[in-house]
Amino acid sequence: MLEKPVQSIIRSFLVMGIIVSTFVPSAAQNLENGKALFESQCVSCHAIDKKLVGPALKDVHTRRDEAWLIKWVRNSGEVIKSGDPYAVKLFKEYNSLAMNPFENLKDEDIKDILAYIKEEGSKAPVAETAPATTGGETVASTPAAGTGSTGSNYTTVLVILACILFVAALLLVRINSYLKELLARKFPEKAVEEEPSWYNSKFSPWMRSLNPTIASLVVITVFMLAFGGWFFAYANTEIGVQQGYAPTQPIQFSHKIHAGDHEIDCKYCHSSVEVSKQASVPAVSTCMNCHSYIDANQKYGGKVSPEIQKVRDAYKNNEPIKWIRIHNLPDHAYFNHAQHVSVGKVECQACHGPVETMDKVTQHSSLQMGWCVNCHRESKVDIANNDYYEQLHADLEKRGKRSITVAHNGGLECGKCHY
Amino acid sequence: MENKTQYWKGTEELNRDPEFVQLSKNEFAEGLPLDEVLSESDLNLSSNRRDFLKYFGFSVSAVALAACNKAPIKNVIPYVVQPEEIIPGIPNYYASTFKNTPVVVKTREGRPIKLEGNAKSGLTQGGLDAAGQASLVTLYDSKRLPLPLKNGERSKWAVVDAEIKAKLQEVNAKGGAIRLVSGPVSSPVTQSIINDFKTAYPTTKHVVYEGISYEGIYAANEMCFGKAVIPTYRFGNAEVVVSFGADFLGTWLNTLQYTKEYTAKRIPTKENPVMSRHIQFEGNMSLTGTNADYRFPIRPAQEGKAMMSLYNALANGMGITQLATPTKFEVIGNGVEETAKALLAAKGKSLVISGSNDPYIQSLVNQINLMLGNYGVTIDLDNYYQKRGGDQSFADFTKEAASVGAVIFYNCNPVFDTAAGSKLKTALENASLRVSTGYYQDETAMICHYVAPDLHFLESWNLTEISRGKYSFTQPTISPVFETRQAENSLAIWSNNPAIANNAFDYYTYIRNYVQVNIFPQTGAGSFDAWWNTSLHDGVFELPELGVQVPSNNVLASDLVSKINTTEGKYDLILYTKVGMGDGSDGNNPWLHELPDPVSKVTWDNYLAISKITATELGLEQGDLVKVSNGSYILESVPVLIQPGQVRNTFAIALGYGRTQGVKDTIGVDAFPFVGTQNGTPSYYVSDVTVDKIAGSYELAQTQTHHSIEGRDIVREASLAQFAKNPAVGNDDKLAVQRTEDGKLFNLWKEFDYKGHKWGLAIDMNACTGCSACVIACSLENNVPVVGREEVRRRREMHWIRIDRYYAFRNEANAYVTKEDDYDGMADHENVKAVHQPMMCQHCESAPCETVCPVLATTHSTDGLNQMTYNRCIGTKYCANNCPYKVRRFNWFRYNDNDNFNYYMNNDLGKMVINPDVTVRTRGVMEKCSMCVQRIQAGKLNAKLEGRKIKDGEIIPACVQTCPANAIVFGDMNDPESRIAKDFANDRAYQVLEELNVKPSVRYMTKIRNVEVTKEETTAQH
Repeated sequence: MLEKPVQSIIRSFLVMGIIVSTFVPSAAQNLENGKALFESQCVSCHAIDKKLVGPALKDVHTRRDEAWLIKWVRNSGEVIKSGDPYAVKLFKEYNSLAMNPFENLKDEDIKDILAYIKEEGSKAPVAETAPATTGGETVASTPAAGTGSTGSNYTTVLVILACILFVAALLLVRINSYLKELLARKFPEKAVEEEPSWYNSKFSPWMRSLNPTIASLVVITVFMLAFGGWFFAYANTEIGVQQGYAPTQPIQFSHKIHAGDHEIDCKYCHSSVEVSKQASVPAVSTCMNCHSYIDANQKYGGKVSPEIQKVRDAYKNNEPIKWIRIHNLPDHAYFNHAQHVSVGKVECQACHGPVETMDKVTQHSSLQMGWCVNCHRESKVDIANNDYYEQLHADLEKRGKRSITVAHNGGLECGKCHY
Repeated sequence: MENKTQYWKGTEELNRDPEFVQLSKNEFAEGLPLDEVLSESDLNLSSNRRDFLKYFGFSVSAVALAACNKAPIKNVIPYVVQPEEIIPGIPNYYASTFKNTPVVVKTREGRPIKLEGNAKSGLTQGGLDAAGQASLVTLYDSKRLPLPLKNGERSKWAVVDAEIKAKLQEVNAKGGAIRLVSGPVSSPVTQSIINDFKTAYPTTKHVVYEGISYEGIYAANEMCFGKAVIPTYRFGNAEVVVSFGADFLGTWLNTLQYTKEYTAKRIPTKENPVMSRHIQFEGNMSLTGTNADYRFPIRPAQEGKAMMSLYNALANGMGITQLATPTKFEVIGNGVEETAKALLAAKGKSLVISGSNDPYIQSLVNQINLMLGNYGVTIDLDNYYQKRGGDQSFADFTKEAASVGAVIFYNCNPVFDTAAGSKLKTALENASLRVSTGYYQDETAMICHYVAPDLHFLESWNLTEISRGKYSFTQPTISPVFETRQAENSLAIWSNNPAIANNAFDYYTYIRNYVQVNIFPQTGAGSFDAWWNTSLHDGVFELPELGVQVPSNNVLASDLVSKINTTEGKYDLILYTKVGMGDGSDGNNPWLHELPDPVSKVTWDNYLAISKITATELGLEQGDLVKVSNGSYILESVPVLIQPGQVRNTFAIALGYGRTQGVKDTIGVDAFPFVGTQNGTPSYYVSDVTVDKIAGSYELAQTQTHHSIEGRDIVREASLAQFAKNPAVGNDDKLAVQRTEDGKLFNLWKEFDYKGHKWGLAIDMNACTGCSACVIACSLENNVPVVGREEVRRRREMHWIRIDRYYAFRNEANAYVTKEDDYDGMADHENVKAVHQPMMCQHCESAPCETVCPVLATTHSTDGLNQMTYNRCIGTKYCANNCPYKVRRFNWFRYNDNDNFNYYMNNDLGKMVINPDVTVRTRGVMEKCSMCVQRIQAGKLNAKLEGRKIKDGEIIPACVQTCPANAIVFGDMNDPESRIAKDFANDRAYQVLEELNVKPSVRYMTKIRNVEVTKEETTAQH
C-alpha cells in the first residue's frame, strides 16, 4: 500500500532533478515497451485484475514459468495440442476459445509484457469493479480517480498517524527528561549521576552548533521539495484525469453486444463523427430503428429486456436520455472528431480503446495533453492522398523527404487546439 | 510628406496635459489596483509575519483540499428524434432580416450565435452595421417580457386577447376612434394585416411616425414632384457628393447601401488615379464628416443660407437667374464657391443631400439637384427607398388624442422618442384601451393597459420590402424564448382576421398566400413552390427595376427663399443620433453602449459636445457638468465633452439616451423633448439654448486617449494629386539606414520560412469609414465580454479590434497645419479632419510580445499567426508592455460569472449567445485578436475533408465579413493569386511602425483625399 506514494516521491525527486532528461532506467524501457504491447495486443481479451474473454493476468508469472508462457503466447494451440494438462484445463475453462497466436512477438517482447504485467499486478489493488452502485447518479459520479483512490487515502491516514505518533514520542522523551531534571533539582540528594545520554552528549551539542537560520531553511527546503515533488506527481497523474472512469449509465447499454458481437459500425450511431467536431450520441430514434422490434425477450423469459424497455419508454414519452458523459475535455481544449477520423484516418479504438469489448464503457486513455502530443509526434500526415497538401507534398519530395508527422505540420502549436 | 501632418488622438494629447503625459508613460494608466484589492478583503500591505504564515498555511492546505475535488458529473443529452438538418457541432445558416437589413443567421444546435450580412442582397452586399451585429444580444435579453401584461401584471394570452377584443368591439360599436400607431411599415404583409384590421374596425386610422423623422424629404418630394417618397440615392454614380449635415455613412437612412457604393468610388489605383470627391458642411463632427475630403464647419441655422449661396453660385455658373438672398454666405476657405466649382465640373454625376428635416430646405436641395441634372443618375424617385405610409401624421394624432377611444402602439415607443411623448399619457387618458406590442416594458408600455409582447425578429416570420421591389424574408431561427407572440398574429386575432382557421392564425401561411397572389406574378418565375423555396433559401429576391424618369417639378426655387429660416440665435443645440444607438429603441443593448462612438470614442453616455472656443467663452472644461435649457425643457446635469470639429456657438447632444423604462439602468440623458418643429416637421436643432455650469464633475468613459501616438508616423495620408504622381507617396523605406549593403536587415531572430499558409490582413484606410461594425462583430464572434462604464474609465475595455481616430488641423488656407507651433492659432479646433485606423493584433513575425512571455503562453505558428494560449497565461502582462501596437487586453475579472458585470454574459439566458468554438476567458489572462483562428481552422478542415486546396476568400474573419466598406481583406500571403498578395504589393501598402522591424502581418494602405494640392504640399513632396 505504501509503494505508490513512495514511488511518487522518488519519481518527483527525479523530475525535480536536473538529470531528469538523461536518466532513463533500463527497466523502465522494458516496461514501456511491455505496456505498449500489452495495450495494443492483449487488452482486447485480457485485463490485469479481472476476467474478460481471457483470464486475469495478475501474478501470471507465479502460475507458470516464463518459458511456458512464451510458448503459450506464441501459439497456445500447439501447447494445448501437446497435451499440457494446465493448458487443456485453461482451454476448457474459457469455453474452448483458443487465444490468438502471436507469432510476430519476439521473446524479448513477451518478456517485456510479462514484466509489465508483474509490475502492474503488484500495484493494482484487486478492486473488483468500479465503485459499486445502485444506479444513482451520485454514486456514478465518482470519477474512478485511479484504482487506488481509497488506498491512497488509507496511506495518508497512516502517514499522518505515524507523524503524530512520532511527535508524541519525541514529546514524551522530552517530558521524561524534564521530569527527571525537575526531580533532580527538587531532590538533589536523590539524584543519580547518570551517564549523559547520546542525545545530551552528542546530538544536542551538534544541533546547537548549527546556524539556526540555515538549519531551518534547509529543513523547510527539504520539506518543500518533498511536498512539491509529491504534489507535482499527484497533480500530473490525478487531478482532472479520469482515466478508467466508468460511470453507470441510466441505461445499461453494452457496446460489447452492439459493436462487438453484432459488429454494428461505430458510425451507425455516432453518425456525425466523420463530418463534425462532435461524434454525437445517437438520438433515441436511432435506437428505435432496431429496438422497435428487437427486444431480447429470449434472455428475459419472453419479456422485453428492461433496458430496452427504457429506450422504448423514452421514445414514447418524448423524454431524452440523460447519458453520463465519459470523455470530457476541458473547455479550453478544442478537439474535432472529423479532423482525426476523416482526415487523419485514426481508428476509434486508438483513443477510446477496445470499446467493442466493453460492457460498460471506460475512459481508456488519459486524455491528458501529453497523450495528445505524443500521438501528434508519432502520427504521419497522409500528404500524398489529399490535394490540400499538394504544395507541401511537392516541396517535400523536392527535398527527398517521404513523410512528415503531425508535429512537423504544426500539430504541436498551442493555437491549433487552444483558442 | 511624412510627418508633415501632426495627428493627435484627443485634446489631452494635443495640449500635453501633464497628467496625460505622466499616464502615457505607464502601460496601465491606472496602475495596479493592489491597495484596492487588498483592502477589499480587509488586508493591508503592513500585514505581519504571522499573517503571512497564516495565509501561506491556508493556501497550501486549500490547494491540497481543492486537488481532492471530484470532477463534476457531466451529462450528454441527445435528441429524442434528431431534426434532419441538425448535425451537432455544425452550424446552420438561415437568411433573415434585421430592420431593413438582410442578414444571415448562424445557429448552432438551434440557437442563433452570430449575424452576418446577406451577401446575396444587391443593396448591402453582405455588409452589416454595428446595430445589426449587436441586435443578436437582445434575443437573449432577460429584460424582455416573458408574458403578456395586464395593467402591469403578468397575465395570460387568452385573458388579454378576450379583453382587448371586447374593448375594441365596444369602441368600434360606439363609433369611437381607434388608432394604430407604428413606425414606418416596410413589410407589405404586415401592411396587409393592418388593412385587415382597419376593415374589421372601420374607425381605425394608421398613424405612422419615426423617432428620427425624415418627413422633410417626403414632404419636399411631394411638394416638388408629387411623390411622397424617400428616393434611392446612388452614391455609386456620384463623382461629387455634397452633404449638408447628412450623416449618410453613419446614421442617415440606408447607411449600409450608401457605404458600399460610396467606398467603392473612393479607391484610386495606379492605373486609374480617380476617386469621388466628398464635401461636407456640418455643425457637429459626424462620422461622415470625418471621411470628407473637405469639411466646412457651419452652424445648422446657417444651412439655409449656405445652400442658397450654393444655389446662386451654381446658377451663376450656368447662367440661370439667381435667388434674391439677403446676404451672400461664405465659409472658411471659400467653401461655397469651391463646392460650386466641383459640382459644375461633375454636372449630372453629382449628388447634393441634406440632413435637415425642413421641407423647404429639402425642396431647395431638390432644386439644386434638378439644376445639376442629377435626377435619374444619382437620385431615383421611381425605385424609391421608402414610401410614406399611414393615414394620419403623428402631430394630428397628438392634437386629437383626447378623443381617441382605443390606441394600439405597434412596436414603437412614442412616449420616449417624440418630443410630445411625455404628454401622451395625460392626452390619452380618455382612451379606454391602450395596448403596446413592444417586447420590453418600455416608456410606452407603462402608459398602456395591456402589453402583448411581440417576438424578437429572430423568432418571427415576415417579408420586408427594403426598397421598392427589393424584398427580404424574415424567418425564425429559434423557437420563441419566452411565451410571446408575433404582433401580426395579435392584430389578426384581435380583428378576427378572415385567414383564421380552426381558431388559429398562421402568419407563415398568410405570408405565403400574400406573396403568391400579390408579388409572385411580377417575378415572371414559373413554379411558385420552386421559386418560394429558392427565395426563402436566399433570403432576398428582387423585382426588375422600373425605368427612371426625370421628374416634373412643381416648385420655383425663388418661392422657397422666404420660407427658409435664416435667423441665428446665440447658440444652437444640434440633436443627432449616434452610430449604433440610433433612436434608442435598443436602449438595453450592452454592446451598443460599450461601442465607442466612432468620433468622440465615448462609451456608455451621451454628453454635450462643445467647441473649444465656446467652452473657453463659457468657462467650461471637459468633464464639467452643465444645465441645458431651451426655456421649456431642462436637462439638469449633462457632462461636457470638448469636441474638435464642433462649430463655435453650437452644442450637440445625442438622442436615444436616457431611457428610463424597459432597461436595466438609465444611461445618459433624454434629449428628445428638445426636438422642436419647423415648417410643420420635427426639427433636430434648437436655437437659443442656455448652458450653465453647475457644481461637480463627471468622467466620461472614453477610449480615445487610452493610447498615445507620440508623433509617430502611424497614419499616412496624401492627396490624390500626390498619389497620381507617385503611388507610393509617403511609403519610402523607413529602414533604409539600418540595411546592410546587400539590402538586408539585421534581425535578432532566425528567419522562418513559412512553407504552408501565411495569413495576413490588408486594411484600406481609404475605404474604412470608422463605422465600428467590426468592433461588435469581432466581440460577438470571439466571446469578448462587456465590461461596463467604470471599467472603461479604468481603460480596461476588452475589444480586440479598436478603431483609432486621429485628428489633424486644417488652417484657413485649407492647408493642413504642419508644425506644432502653429496650433496656437488653431485654438478653436473647429476646422479639423480625422482619419480612422482599425487596429488589432498585427501578428508580427518577430513579435516583441512572444520573446518576453516567461511561460511561452504566446507563440508563433507555422502559418504566421501570433497565438495566445489562455491556459498557459499566468498574467504577468509583460507581453502587453512590450507590444508596440497596444492591442493586448487583460482580463481583470471573470466577467462571465461576476454579478458586478451584469450585462449579458453572467446569466444563463445571456450565455446562449456564446460562440462554442471559442474559449470564454477567465480572470487573469491576456487576450487579443486571433485573426479568428477558429474560422481559419474550420476552413482548413473543410478543405482537407474535401481533399482540395483552400480557395482565396473562403476563410473570412468576423471583421472582414461584416465590413460594409470592404476595407479589410484577409488571406494567404503565400498564395500569389490571392487578393491579399496583390494588396500587399500595392504601392499604398505600408506597415505601421515599420521602423521597429517587427514585421507585422497586417498592412495598411495610405489614405488618399481628393483635395487640391496646396503650395506647401507640392513643395514638400519628394
